[in-house]
Amino acid sequence: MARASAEDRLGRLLAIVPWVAAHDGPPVAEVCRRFGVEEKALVEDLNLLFLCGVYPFTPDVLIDVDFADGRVWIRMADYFRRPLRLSPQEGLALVSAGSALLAVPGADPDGALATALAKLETVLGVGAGDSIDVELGPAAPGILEAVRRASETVHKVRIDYYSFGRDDHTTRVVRPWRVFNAAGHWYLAGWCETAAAERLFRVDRITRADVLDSTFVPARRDGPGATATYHPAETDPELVLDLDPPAHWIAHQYPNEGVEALDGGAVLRVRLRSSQRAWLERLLLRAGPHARVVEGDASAGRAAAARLLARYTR
Amino acid sequence: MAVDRLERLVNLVAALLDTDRPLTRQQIHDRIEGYAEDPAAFRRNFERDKELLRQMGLPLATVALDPSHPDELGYRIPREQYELPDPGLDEAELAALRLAASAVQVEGAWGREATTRALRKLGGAVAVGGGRPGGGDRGETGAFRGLAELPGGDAVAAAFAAVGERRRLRFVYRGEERLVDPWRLSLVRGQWYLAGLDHGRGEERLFRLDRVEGPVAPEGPAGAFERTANRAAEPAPAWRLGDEEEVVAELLVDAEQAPWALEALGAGAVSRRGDDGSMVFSVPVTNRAGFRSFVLGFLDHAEIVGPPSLRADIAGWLSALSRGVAGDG
Repeated sequence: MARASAEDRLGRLLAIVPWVAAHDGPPVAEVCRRFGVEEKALVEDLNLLFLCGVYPFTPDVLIDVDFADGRVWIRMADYFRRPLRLSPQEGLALVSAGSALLAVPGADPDGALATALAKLETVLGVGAGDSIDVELGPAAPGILEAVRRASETVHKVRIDYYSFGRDDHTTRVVRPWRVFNAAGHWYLAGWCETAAAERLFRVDRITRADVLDSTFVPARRDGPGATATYHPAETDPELVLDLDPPAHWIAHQYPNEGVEALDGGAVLRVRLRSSQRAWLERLLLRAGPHARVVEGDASAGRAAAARLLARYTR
Repeated sequence: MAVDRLERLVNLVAALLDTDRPLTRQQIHDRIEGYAEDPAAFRRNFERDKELLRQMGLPLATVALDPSHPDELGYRIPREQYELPDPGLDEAELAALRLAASAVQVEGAWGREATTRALRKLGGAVAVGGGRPGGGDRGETGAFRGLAELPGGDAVAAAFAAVGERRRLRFVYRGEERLVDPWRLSLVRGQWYLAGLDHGRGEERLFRLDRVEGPVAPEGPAGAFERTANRAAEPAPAWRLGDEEEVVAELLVDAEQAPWALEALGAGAVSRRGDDGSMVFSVPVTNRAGFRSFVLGFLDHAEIVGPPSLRADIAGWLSALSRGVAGDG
């Protein structure tokens, strides 16, 4: 059986000892549950404490551990009276997780989580809620609430959705597998019955959501994950662009099939695939003259520019 | 007798916490069981133990005991730096934090581990159902699991600690070395930003932490400054990131996409609402290229209606593009 490392065991002990010492003989089972440790491992580590103490290690300065009636007492460990303070990573992880859950629409601003965070922030010096701020991104509360409820109760949901890539509106029936927040946006992941495929929807682009009466069998898997973004198909037309420095951001921000530096890095040659007209138009319009089409259809950008230009020349 | 390394480490930490006076290597060798007799082997053991304690975040202080023998070092762990002040969390609050930790994950190598260790230090986490009745805990339902993922990273952790300690930070940003009084951290649009006083510039600046080059290093003592009153910690949009002469753009957005423009620009920017649901926004612009990019993202749904100089700017851009002209834009 794999044994926990000395570091893991020491970290656990330095947290368990002050807690047990501060409580009058808590049940061993509770200590195990609270600190996520098996009884055998806990007893083994605490038994080792019997031999610990400070110089000169006479019986009167050794840590005293007592097991009786399924309870445990620790005495004579005053130097371990408090746990070790939180590391920067630990403080950040816990405070940002708490702040994020509190930022979900519908969270109780005066509940246990809010008071816990306020207390924690005070001891970490980031108190009064003003030095750490977590925003989860836009979503109409009613719509977010509807798709979350549909997902939790395993009901299908009908959505009106704006497709950014195609610049059009559709109404779809979706089996909502999961609703989650990542990279500053709320997403609905699920099976789109209209498309007969897995899809990831941005909740802020859903303009209407109706929870339907019909239920569905939850999928075994969670569906497209948080890291899922637009994935082009093999059959999508390829486009190769040469980007001047003002348009280099395209190589970093758009999913692509490869980037090659030319002219000592002054020009980036990027290969992209897309069948989504609006997506391609936005890219070419924004890049403007800083992007040159090397391979593929050069007309899309020119046509879009001419179409929009008409509004400025009439 | 072979002494378990864990036993040796517990004794070492106890000795270093218990002493007011720094202990010498010799004292440590003499007093702590489990080190090799051989001085060279002891030295290696002790180096490994020190490294482990530092890695765990124990504040191991090293003090020169005698100015004329700078090699003769003493060691101790100052209690005030070691101990976590008691936040006084009740069981319901601890359960709420546990729920948050299970619902929200911080990305990166240490994210999941860090919340577990933090909760353990705070007194462990009561298993679901073990909280007091009426503790306000809805329970760990499947719906909460994996609700949100937040970016993490060492630069954010370093900034978090420095905000809490009010300690200055040194790092490289946009190719320049900065010395910053870190005031506030905010997560906006999926990115962590640090707001603070940039000493080189003499004013408040906002730094996107994933764009910091190299390490974020604390410098000098804690409590080095007072945080100033809050300004809205919103990162500036692309059309404000520049020092061109300010011009107020009038932007017409059709009914279909007006809600998104409203989200991006704010209700305060609305200067006219059309009967058909369209809206006109007044937008102060100091970076024309940034504004042009924003407007073009709306494709046919938006039009700059004024002033003429901005219309001419975007028309020129579109005209060059429609003719397939390569140029400097």
